[in-house]
Amino acid sequence: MKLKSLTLLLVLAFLSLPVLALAKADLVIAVDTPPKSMNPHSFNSDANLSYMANFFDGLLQRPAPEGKLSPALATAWERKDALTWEFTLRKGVTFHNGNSFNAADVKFTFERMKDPEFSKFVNIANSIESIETPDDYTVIFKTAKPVPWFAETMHQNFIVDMESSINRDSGDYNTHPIGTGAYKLVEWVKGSYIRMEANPDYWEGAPEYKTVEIKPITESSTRFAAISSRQADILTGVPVNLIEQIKKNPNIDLVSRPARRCIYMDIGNKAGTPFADIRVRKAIAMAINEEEIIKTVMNGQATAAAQVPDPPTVGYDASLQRLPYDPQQAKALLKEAGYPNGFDITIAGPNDRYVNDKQICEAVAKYLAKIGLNVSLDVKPKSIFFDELSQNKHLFYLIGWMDGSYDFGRSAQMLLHSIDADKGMGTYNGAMYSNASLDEQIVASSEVLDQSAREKALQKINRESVEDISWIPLHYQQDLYAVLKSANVKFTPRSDYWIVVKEIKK
Amino acid sequence: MIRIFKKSHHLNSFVNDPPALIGAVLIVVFVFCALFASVLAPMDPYDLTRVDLGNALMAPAWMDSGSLAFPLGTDDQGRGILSTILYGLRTSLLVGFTVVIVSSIIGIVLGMIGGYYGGLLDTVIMRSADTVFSFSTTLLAILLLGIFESRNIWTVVFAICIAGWVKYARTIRGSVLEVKENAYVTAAKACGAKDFRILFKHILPNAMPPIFVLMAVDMAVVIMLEATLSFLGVGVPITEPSLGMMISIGKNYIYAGMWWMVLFPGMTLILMVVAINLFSDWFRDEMNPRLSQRS
Repeated sequence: MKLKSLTLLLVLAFLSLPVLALAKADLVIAVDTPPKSMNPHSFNSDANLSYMANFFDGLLQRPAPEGKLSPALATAWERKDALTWEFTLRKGVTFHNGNSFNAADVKFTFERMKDPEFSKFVNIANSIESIETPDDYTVIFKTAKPVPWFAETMHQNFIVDMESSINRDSGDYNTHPIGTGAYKLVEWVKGSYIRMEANPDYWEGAPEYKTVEIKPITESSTRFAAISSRQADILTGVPVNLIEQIKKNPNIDLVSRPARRCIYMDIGNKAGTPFADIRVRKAIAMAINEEEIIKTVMNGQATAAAQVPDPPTVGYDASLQRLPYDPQQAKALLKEAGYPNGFDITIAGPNDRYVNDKQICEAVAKYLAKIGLNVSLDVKPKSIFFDELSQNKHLFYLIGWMDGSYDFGRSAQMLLHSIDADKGMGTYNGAMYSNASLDEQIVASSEVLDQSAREKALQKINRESVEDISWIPLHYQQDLYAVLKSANVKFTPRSDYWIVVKEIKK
Repeated sequence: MIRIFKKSHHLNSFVNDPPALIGAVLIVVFVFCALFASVLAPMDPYDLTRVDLGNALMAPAWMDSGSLAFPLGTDDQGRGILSTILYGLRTSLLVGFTVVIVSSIIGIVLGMIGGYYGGLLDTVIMRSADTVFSFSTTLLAILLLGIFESRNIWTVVFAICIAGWVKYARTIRGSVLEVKENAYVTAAKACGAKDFRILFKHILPNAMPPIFVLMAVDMAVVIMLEATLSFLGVGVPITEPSLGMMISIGKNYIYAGMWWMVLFPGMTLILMVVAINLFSDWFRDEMNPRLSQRS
């Protein structure tokens, strides 16, 4: 009998061994998007960059909460003339493998970023004409044409180690990050979790949490279940329809902050379509009751937008106002434009990209039906939808935008400028909006060196685009996080929705 | 026809079988609701000019925040749950009936040809049936629906039919193989009857009973399948009412305590499937000569 219970005890002890090995990390974060690769240049999406920001550093960084451009691997930077940028590098920084960081790594990184095999950042990399390294801690970039926001993107161009990267095969390169970042990767189990440990030699000092686990859980109800069962300390992407529940839960804090992303309806002005008439575009804008969308579809978690750039972006104009919601006036405008009985209109949009994107499209459909348009809806998964946008299949669609470089000039080149593939303009202008005067101003603005003069020029472009109704801004999303009270975490959300663990304090 | 039915033992056994009776009554109610949805429903939930976002997420009428205008509450777009269920029944039953009829016709024709002629034709038909059968029906329907650029209720019908004809073909082929050796078929052949005539006049009527049973059971399966596809977002487009889609919308609000968006369409779906199954159970027993002789 004794022997039996002893055996049982032993068996139980052995069974619990794997559990001990998987002891809970100091900090567990459940996020909404899984990483796609550990190559820091493989995806130009915030979801992937968010992971990379823990393993790598850029020349500059944007610390929480406001994201002001600050020194990181570079201690100082200067725009010498329209085409020349000089960065002074930090001394005494080492990569995770012990190699020291110097100007050669920077040069190597930006040259590698030009290669489409390794990089989705070819746009910024190809704007560089030459890279000079006069000494180990100075890098001088010369761009082919003026790129005023060059330094503004340096927080997301992560620096890799030259010596080790040259010889690694891409399988290894895409799964084992070697950077200078605050954390080292311990284990990446695809579809399950990422485990990382603090880098004790980090140049900013070792981060406070020693072992951290990030768990991507894409299904929002499942993710919520992870924090309500205390399996996660921090949760990103709290679904807006669960807010009331979380507020009622005594164990969880709800943290929210305005997001940078603006959700808007993109609309073209292609000749031969009803949209060519500004009265039609105005009627559509006035028919949409944004206040009601925010109240019901977004459960109050959004801020009405009068323009696409957000406040911290260069080119934001605080004086801009939304057109009032006025369906009667909208009907009158349609009549004036020669469409007293409306016309056929298709509202396109993704159904798995932005917060409640499908529901917003449905709501817009209702408003447009009420002013007499004959509406059809075409919402589909983002993978198909974005493909169709690049083929200009839709003239009126829902989309979101935030400019990672905090510069409206760059946004305007991609979203507002007439489509011109050779010049790399209008890349994301899916609705084919075209306005010669704006095109001219957009090109001219990139040559302006003086920051305040440039800001004025960008604000003018922004204002005129809103006045011409080249887009119908709806709202800025609100980023929502849940934090477990018992975890005692000091968590400050960032404006770009990245999870940079070194910023999370005990 | 009715007179024959009245005199037959079928009526007797039907009246004495309470589950079958309940099933039949429920089916009649559902069909009635679906046919007269536009009269019965308080509103047309898919008339964009009538639906108001301001009415979204309202609780059923008997709760504090409810309103009599929406007896079972509203969903996230301000559509009444009751109205949407009534219109959704229409989609369910329409898809159910159409698929069962179309896929049984395809299956019967192919199965009879295979069974009667045999040889290479039979091999080709039955091997392709095996191929289709080796996929799960749901998976095959999802794959097929992925091909279409735009979806509507008929693409869903098409996809389910392609995935669903196989069981009819297999069943009828078995019956044909059995029946075609019978003396009356040989007699018909000896009289010089054409193949077509033999197949449809002599073989088919004798091979039909199991097919009828299969159709009744299949109806419930197809209704569930349409709901599943719509739940997954690959079924009818969001501009058409569907019980499956209602549940998938409501799913996002379950943790928020808004149970009515899932419960009512879910109950309707379950009741409908149970009703059809109760009725088809009785029907199967009736169609089986050995069982009916016993009583």
